[in-house]
Amino acid sequence: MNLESGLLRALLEAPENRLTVNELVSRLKTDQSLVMAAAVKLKESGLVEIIERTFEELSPGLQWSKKLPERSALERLGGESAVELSRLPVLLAKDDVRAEVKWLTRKGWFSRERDRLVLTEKGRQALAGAREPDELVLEQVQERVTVPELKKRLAGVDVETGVKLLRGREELVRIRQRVERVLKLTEAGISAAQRQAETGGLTAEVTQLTPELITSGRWRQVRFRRYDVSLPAKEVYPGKEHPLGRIISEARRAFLEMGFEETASPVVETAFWDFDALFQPQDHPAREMQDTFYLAVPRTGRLPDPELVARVAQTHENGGETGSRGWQYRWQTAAAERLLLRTHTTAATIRALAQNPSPPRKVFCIGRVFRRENMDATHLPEFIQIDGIIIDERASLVTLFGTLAEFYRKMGASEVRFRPSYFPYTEPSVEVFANLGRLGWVEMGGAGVFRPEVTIPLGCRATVLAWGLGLERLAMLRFGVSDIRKLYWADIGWLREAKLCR
Amino acid sequence: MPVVTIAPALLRRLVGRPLADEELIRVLAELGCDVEGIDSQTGMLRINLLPARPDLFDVCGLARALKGYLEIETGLAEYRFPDSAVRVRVQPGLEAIRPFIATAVVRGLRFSDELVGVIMDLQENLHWGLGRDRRRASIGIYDLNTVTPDIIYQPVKPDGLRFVPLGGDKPQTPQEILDTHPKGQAYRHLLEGLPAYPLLADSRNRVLSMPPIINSEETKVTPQTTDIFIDVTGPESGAVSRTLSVIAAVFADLGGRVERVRVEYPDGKIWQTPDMSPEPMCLDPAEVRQIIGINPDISETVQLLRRMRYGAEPLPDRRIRVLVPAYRSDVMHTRDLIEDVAIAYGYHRLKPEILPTVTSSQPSRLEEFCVLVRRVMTGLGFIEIMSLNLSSPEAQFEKLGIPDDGRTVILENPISVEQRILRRHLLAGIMETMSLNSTQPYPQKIFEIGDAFELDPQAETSARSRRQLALGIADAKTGFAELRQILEALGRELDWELGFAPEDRMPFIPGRSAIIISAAGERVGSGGEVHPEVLERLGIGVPVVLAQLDLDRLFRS
Repeated sequence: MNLESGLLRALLEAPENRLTVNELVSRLKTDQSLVMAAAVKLKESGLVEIIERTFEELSPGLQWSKKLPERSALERLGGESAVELSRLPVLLAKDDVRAEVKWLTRKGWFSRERDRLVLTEKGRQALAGAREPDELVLEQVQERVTVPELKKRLAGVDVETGVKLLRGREELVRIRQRVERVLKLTEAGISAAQRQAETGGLTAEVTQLTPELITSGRWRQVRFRRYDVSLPAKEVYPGKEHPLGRIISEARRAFLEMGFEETASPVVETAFWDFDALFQPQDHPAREMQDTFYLAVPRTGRLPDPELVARVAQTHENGGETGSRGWQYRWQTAAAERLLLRTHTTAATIRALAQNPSPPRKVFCIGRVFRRENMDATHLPEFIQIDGIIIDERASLVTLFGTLAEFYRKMGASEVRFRPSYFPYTEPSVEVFANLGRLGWVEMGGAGVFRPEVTIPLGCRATVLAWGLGLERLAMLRFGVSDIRKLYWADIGWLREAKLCR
Repeated sequence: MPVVTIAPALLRRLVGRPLADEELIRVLAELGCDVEGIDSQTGMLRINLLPARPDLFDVCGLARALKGYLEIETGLAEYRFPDSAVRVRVQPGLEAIRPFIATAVVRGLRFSDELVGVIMDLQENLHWGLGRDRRRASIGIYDLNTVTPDIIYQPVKPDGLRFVPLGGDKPQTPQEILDTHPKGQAYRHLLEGLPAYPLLADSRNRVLSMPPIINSEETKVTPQTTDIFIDVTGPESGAVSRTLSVIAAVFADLGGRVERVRVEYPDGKIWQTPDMSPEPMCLDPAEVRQIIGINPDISETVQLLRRMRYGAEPLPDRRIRVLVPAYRSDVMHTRDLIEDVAIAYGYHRLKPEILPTVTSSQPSRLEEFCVLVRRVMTGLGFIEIMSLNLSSPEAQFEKLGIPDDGRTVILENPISVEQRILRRHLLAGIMETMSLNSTQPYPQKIFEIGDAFELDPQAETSARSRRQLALGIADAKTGFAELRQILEALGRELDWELGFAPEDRMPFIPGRSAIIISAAGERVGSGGEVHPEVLERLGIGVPVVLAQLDLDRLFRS
């Protein structure tokens, strides 16, 4: 039998279904703290109420005796109607009689007339046996006693006044504030206690449903403690993909859904594939040290098939077989062999084109690209690009627009717009803008139709559409990030809070 | 990219139509100009220069293009200049230095502040755009009345003829100018090491300039100047000639009387410059249909071309004869004409279409494999991070106590010390993230999937990359056992048989690190409890376990 059921039973049996904690402690023969713990649980289950009462408790002081000192003095003076003060030490057998004089006069038993004490009418009555409330109270304080108890014992006596008179006479009586807790069964408590008495079983309350409770079937006898379901819980965070990683996954899925094949290319790339194959003249500003990361180690890489290289070189110099006049300068093999960090993933799509230029093909690549830019809130020297090409006899600028509009529709843009622009390897060239609803029109990247100077040397006569788009911008807008660095210098707090539903 | 500022009022005056600011910006954007907007303080129109269109670097060129697009004046802008009495003779000895020079004379100019501004900006922008910072073309403009023709373009010894450089106060030798004058110091790399420098002087040996460095003080243009002499020099005739054509067209548009100058080369060749004769091309409208996807009829295509300031007329064989103005240096193929047809047609009028060709998707198998790894890692409660591939030897080696084996890809021109190599492994990224997040609640479980790089002399680009998975747990209670649980869970889900063999190596505590071996016996990774020395160095106050797996190897196995 647990304490809670014992407590319920004791209360059920008690008058008015109420008992003080002290009474319960003695009845249940246990510890006060255990009773209180059980009481609190029962209260939370709504079975008992706990009533707190404050009252005063009196206990004997160091000089307690059954009689007040002034009563002893009165009796010693034995009814003399007047006594000289000088005789008092002898009569009372005390050197210092100031306290007796004070209390005899304060009680009104004697009045002081110059150097004499004169017995009053009240003094006579007192001698005759009339007793004051404080004397009656004092008598009871042989042991510790509470004021409510005194009131019970001294029916008809003005206990309050008695206690009040004794207040401050610490040597006689100590008065302390006490709190008493009374437990009382509620309506629910009464029925629970009765049910408990009837079934003989004890409806214990449990916090945790344990395997033991389930397998033993004892869950039938217990009550489940009610929880405060409005309380907040400690945070937990699921494992999740990086916000930018999710944008990459979405973009990847979008192109796969549109029937594209995925390609890749080295980050450490030759200038040949990054620039020359794309008809960027060797003195083009983008190729300078100022904008492109070149490598000190390793410095050079291998060029592809010499015939292909020769066709590219000639196209730069005079247009070769492309019908173009070319850039009209001397093309240098050494500049093409230089290694760099690829500046765009167009290096990947152009490699894919060179490898197999036969239409129809749709190819895309997502990867890191590098530009020699100072870091700030919107620039990093390294970022993600998504490049794509379509090699198709039926491809044209309007199908380029259609493809990119479809891609951005999948990425959540309501509308896409194109503006003429310039890139050395596409003609026509456009800038792509997407309407991201509340964020408005945002520039996303460049696109166009590869120049014949790019495609013909690689053996491709079909129209080739191409684009290179950024993804960080989309991620920043979607996740409300104003500083691009936040994407790459992970703040775990932010990653934990970044919402999956964005 | 440089920005040109244009006075909208001057542009409107030249166009001859009172365009509102908004309309002006819209029309310029439709033409392909990258308009920043109108500066609210100065009221000037700001346009980012398109390097390919030097003819749009100035207000005259923009007005010429706008007049065509708005159908105020279409077709070829004709520039016919009379021959000047001024001649230029080129002396032998410049063939390997800076062989080509093209020149012009302009008379009857009034050098208002406005005009000086336009010309100075144009000169500077052409040096950048067509001149490739003066290497391919450099421009000089002089007061014609200060010189006595003929003009001689000649080689000069570094310690030869002295002259007062622009802004200077005493005569200096060419070498002294390269060594001491600000422009000399800025452009000396274009002449250094040559046995002689190019010099332009008149018949009385008065120096006009030392191309491509500096003009002389004596021949400079002043507010009183009315007649000027212009030269463009460079290593190739094409860039030199086209640069002069752009300038000559601008001076003609501004009301100057341009004259052609006869340039005599030592081999007897004669060049009459500026050469404004248009280049003929032939356009097949079928190509317009193929590339753009629209189908305008011949007369409409002719009109579209004329709006872009080409000369255009239909030929009997249903093709179109096109005359390309000399200042359009960007047109090198009929494809360039096709783009201009599309721009004149208007990109906003093009209706996007879906390509009807059906192709089947083909995802990269490595990427698909990484998708699976990512799924398992997030399922195990790990948060993904992304860090840069650019790193430093300090982050990769020193902080983690890993020895540098010299197989690292190193940048030649890094932009910061933290980013001067390509990362060798992904452990540094995990550790740096934990170091930056030491105030965040633990446990912290993070992972990254990315590439690590190393030198490989056999590879096409002398380096190779490998896809890696790195993971870390920071928690008061973590240890090798938990790490092994995670690695085994990964192995179970992805069907890898992973073996663990003891190997003491940094950044791990000796006796608490392992190399991870695939079923094929290949080494596919390592992991362990991070050494407190490393944790202390990174300011991490809780134990960390760390592992890296080579996904490329696991993928192939």
